[in-house]
Amino acid sequence: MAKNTVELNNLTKYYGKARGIIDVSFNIEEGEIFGFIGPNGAGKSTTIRTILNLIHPTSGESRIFGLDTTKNQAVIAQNIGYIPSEIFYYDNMRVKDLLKYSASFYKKDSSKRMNELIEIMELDTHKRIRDLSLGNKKKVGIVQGLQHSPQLIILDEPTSGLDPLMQQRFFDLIREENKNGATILFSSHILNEVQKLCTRIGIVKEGRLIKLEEMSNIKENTYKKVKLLTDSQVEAGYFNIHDTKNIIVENGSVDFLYKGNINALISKLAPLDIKELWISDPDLEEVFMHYYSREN
Amino acid sequence: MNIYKYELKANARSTILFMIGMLVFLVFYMTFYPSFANDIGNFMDMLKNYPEALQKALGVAFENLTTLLGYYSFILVYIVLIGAVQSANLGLNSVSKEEREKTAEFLLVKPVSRMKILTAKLASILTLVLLTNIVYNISSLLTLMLMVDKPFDLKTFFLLNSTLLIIQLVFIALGFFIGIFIKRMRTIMPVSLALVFGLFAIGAFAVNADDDKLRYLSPFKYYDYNYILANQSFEAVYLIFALILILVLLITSFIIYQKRDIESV
Repeated sequence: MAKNTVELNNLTKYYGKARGIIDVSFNIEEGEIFGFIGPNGAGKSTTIRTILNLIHPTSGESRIFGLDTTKNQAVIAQNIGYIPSEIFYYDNMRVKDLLKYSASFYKKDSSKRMNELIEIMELDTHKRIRDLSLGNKKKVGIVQGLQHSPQLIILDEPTSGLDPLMQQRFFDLIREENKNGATILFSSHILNEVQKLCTRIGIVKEGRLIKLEEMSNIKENTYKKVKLLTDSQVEAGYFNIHDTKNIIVENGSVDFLYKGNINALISKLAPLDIKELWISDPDLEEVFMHYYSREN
Repeated sequence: MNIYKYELKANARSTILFMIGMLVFLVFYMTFYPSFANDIGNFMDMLKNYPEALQKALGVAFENLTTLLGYYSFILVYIVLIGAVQSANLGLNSVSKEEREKTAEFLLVKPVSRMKILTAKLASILTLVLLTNIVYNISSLLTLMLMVDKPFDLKTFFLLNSTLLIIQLVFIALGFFIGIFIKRMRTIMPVSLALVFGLFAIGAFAVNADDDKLRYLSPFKYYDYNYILANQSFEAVYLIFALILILVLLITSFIIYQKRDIESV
């Protein structure tokens, strides 16, 4: 088994009496791209801010690279790249100076990687921070977070403000870093980003981790969405094989959710005179809604 | 070292402005000295009419005003006030600025301990304040020598001037502590003005109450210009108290900051 880059054990944070996170436990293995999902206010940022030692846990512990995050922050941070959702830097500084200032904290020389990233992100480094648009600030954040080639990259809703082209470049960058060995913690509420990128996900709800699952399992173990248009007469019970749900038959269109052997489904479909057929995986959003609505 | 340099740069401009402010104030009031010295009799009569409480509060014995250093100490009261505001600003700003401008997240996820961050910030403030004092001491010495054609006692002069450093050190510590203790400080200037003038007012009250214990309440009363003028020395007990106060405030600040939650954006 690969070793864990991040370990959370019953991590709990209250802000006074207000709930932050409660008993959050999970591990991220070295080399994983872990998706951390949940709506705003569920506790994603609180979790990230706690393991970054920006805030102090009420109880529980977190370890990164095997070290306690409350005690070894300065050591751990050598190998962390953090890209927050909102970027704030010293307004008076020029981009170039800010990047150099940031790099000066790390032991390695990151000037080569800095220039590569500046080129990829098409960043104008002569501008002052205060003159940058939201998207350009974000680009500075990305270069700043990745230039020292960190082993653990923590992304907290990183794509806000980036145009689709840049988002694509950014995801390519993250994949490349991951291929080179970096572990990724990717927090987002934009589920198709997570779906595209992540190998495993954790879902948080009201401060608690309610689901931890391999991305591939999520797709396998969930219902396929089936929709067909046919001239044949179909009874609602016709598709009652294995696990079928939510059948809606209406004017020659049939919709249902199906879980089970796909061949059994095909043989049921074969005799019909089908005009159109769609069989699709539900996206993460539907899975997510499933977990969220079930308990409400 | 990088934080130290950055902080020096960030605060250089305001430091220079405060220095200029002090020197302009000094030169402006020293220009009155020659005519004042000639016309001292009338002036003394006028000042004698000040209520006694006000005389005490200002901390200037008016009979001292006839001497050059006596007159100088009268101006120094206000220069020290300017210095107090400057150092309170620096102290208050050092930590709260990062949170107000939301750059704390940038700095605190860097591979550097909070201890080192605070140390670097404190060192940069101390550097700027020491620089301010060096510049002030040299400029004020030159001002007095060039503008006034009278000999004066150098030891007394430098003892008087050192009250600027003492006050600035105390207000750095106070500002540092308050800046860390209070979260989410929106603006600095009103807080530092309230702090400086509040303590100055308390000091004025303290000397009028005729209870020496009350002097501990205001850093402005840890020294007494008339005592310095008369004795060429400080009252040691207040200086020791100031030193202890500074250390306690700074050590507490460091301890609090270790576990302090950084407000989210």
